[in-house]
Amino acid sequence: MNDSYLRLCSWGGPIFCVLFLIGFIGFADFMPPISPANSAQEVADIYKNDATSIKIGLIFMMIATSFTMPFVSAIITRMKQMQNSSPTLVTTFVIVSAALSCFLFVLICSWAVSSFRADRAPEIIQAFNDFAFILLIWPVSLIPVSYIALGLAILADNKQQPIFPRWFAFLNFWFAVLAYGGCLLIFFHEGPFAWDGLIAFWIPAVAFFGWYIVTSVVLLQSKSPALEK
Amino acid sequence: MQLQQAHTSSLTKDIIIWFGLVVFTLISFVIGHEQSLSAEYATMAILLVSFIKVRLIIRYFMEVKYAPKALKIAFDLWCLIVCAMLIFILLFSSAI
Amino acid sequence: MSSSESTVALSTDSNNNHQAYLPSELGVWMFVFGDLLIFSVLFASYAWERVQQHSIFLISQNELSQTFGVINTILLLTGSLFVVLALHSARNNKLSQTKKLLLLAIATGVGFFINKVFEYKDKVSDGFTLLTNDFFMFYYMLTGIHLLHVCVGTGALIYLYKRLSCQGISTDNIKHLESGGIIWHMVDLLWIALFPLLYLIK
Repeated sequence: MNDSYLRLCSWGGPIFCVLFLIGFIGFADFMPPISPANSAQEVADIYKNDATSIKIGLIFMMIATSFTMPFVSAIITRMKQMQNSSPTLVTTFVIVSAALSCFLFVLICSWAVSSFRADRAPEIIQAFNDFAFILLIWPVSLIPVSYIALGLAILADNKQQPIFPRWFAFLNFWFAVLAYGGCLLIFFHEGPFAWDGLIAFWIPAVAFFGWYIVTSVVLLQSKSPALEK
Repeated sequence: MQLQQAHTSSLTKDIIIWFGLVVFTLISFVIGHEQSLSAEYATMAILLVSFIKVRLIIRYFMEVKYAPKALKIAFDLWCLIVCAMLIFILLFSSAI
Repeated sequence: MSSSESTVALSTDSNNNHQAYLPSELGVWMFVFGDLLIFSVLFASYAWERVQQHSIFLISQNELSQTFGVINTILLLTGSLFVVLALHSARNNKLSQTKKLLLLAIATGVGFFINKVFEYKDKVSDGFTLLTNDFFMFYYMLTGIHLLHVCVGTGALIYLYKRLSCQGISTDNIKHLESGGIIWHMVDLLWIALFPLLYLIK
């Protein structure tokens, strides 16, 4: 079996992280996020003053998003090669990963709408900004399902030399727990559970990007069952 | 299997540990209601008692007592750091 | 990889020392540590907020019913004891006893859940919700996250019960029982740390 494309796609995760974070932190300056406690005028001023750098950042993030797709394809390939592989778990992983790409696309579009006509009514800018940040955090209620599906698939792989190491399954469960912290963000405008808080933003952010890095390392070390012999 | 049998703690020991944990729970409950103790001392006592309970559970119920050294040290460090951190934040951080 | 190194380190350690035995498997312990880490962060941010708004937290805390809290603590402790006893019976190859003890442990988990739901209902009918103040925000969030852990732990015990019913006792199933037990004890010890922070300290 030809593994070289899989290896190539395995780099999609780190590339996504680097490009996305360059856009998110370096250009758009969304780290820390625009506070949900800000007034409409404050939000509109941010978009008015930093319009160009925000737009450049969004372009980076959008291109970064495209790299998640080959990356998850590499994982799906490996999931299918596992002994005892369950089509249900693979499909769950596929659906959630595909949905995640859509979320990223729509949320970046929403930031783009905010910055596209930064001189319009502040309330409209604020509404699209809210929409984007809620769409950035709230998928943490969905993504963990893909981590859990991947983890269960790894545990079911009962070969002598499993495709992924077993500890990676438990790491996935842990990432799932970390990510769930943002589930209740719509209640809060400030504090640790608001969209710029420790539990809802910082910890899930570390889990989200950390997952791409660790998974990429594990993918690059994995071998096709046919090549093993 | 033999390995597991070798240090399987006896049934009575586990029940004694459980009894101790219940007694500790009631002690911290009483400290919580004790008016003669100053708030600082009560808080510190309650936290210390609960982390003793945590360590008992880790060592005897999770069987970390019989586990490799690395695991024992890691759990003890966690107990120590978290307990110290909580006491520090609750009692001394307002002075900063 | 550092973790594969630590696997080697752990296994050589247990070879040198006849006493050492790693229950369950490395991944489960990693998960437990990860979870403890998250809760440490939650505890710290709660403690920090508490110091900033001490009087509000103290007044709100007095609205909690400590009786509910103590009952729940004892329920979880007893559940932990049942899980430990179940593991011993499994190691001694007593299937029906293991299953009975597991059922009792599951019952304590369900009991905790029901008790918690009544406590929440009580608080909400008194007019205290997630948005009342920062104390109740932490109260609902911390106990809620913990309750989720209780559900997962109870689910794991139910899975183990079914597995034992179908397959009987084997070395493999004892490993699984150890893993389920460790998760359950972790849920227990998190509550042991959470209970005084929310209900008791002054």
